[in-house]
Amino acid sequence: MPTVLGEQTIHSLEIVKEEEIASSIDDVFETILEQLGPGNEAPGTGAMPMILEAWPGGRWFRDLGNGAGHFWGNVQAIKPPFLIEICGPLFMSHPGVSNVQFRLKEEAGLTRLRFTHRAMAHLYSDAKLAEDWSRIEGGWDNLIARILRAQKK
Amino acid sequence: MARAATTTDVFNAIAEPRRREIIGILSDGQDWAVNDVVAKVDIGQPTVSKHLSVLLQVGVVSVSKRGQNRMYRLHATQLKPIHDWVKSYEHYWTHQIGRIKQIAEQKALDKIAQG
Repeated sequence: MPTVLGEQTIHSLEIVKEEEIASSIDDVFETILEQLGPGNEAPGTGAMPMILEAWPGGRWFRDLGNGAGHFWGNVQAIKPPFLIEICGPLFMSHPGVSNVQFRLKEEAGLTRLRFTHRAMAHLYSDAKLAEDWSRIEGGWDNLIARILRAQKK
Repeated sequence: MARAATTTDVFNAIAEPRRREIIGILSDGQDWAVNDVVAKVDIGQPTVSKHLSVLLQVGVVSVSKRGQNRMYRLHATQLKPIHDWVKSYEHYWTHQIGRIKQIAEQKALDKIAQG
C-alpha cells in the first residue's frame, strides 16, 4: 500500500448565525431536535430524515437500511433546552472534523439562537468537483465562476 | 459569517476583500505584473505585493520572472474545494435555521390560537 506524505494545508472554517425566534425556548429546542432528526431536509432536494439520539454520545446519522448509512456526528453536549453540541465529520467526504453548537437563551418573550459551526479539514480537488463547477451561482459564486470561465478561454 | 484568521489557510486568504479584488483582476488567466495590478486598484504597491505574497503562500497564484518583473497568474482550481466546502455548509445551515425559526414560531402561534 503506497503511503504519501506531504505538506498539506489544513483549512479552517467558522460559520456563525444568530436568530431571534418568537417562540418559547422549549419549543425552539424541541424544533431543533426535530429538524436535525426526522424533519431534516437537504436544500434543493427535500426530505432527508436523520436519526438523532439526543443524549451525550448519541449518534447523528442517516439510516439507509440494510446496514447502509452515513454517520454525521455524535452529541458532544446536551443541556435541554439551552444547548446541543455535535462533533463529527458531518456530510462532506473530506478528512476533517466539525463542532456544531446551537445555544439558546430566552429574553423578553423571544428565544435567541446562536449557531456556530467550526471545522478543520484537508481539502482537495478531484475530477467530479471540477465537473460540478458549472452549477455555481450567486455572490461569491459569481466571482469564482467568472474566474473559471476566463481560465477556460 | 465570521472566519478565523490565518494567512496559511486558502479560505482565510481569500476572505480578505482586497485579495478578492486582486483575484478578480487576475481572473482573466493572464500573467500580471505587480505594477499592472496596482494600476487597477486603489492601493499602493507595497500593499498589493503583500496581498500577492499571501495568495502565493497558499497556492492561489503562481509567480514567474519576466525581465525585471515578477508576473503573477491565478490558479482558480485551488479555490474550488474551498468554495464547495463553505457553500455546502452555508446552504445547509441557512436552510435548517430558517426552518427551525419558521416551525417554532408556528408552534407558538398554534398555542396562542388554542388559548
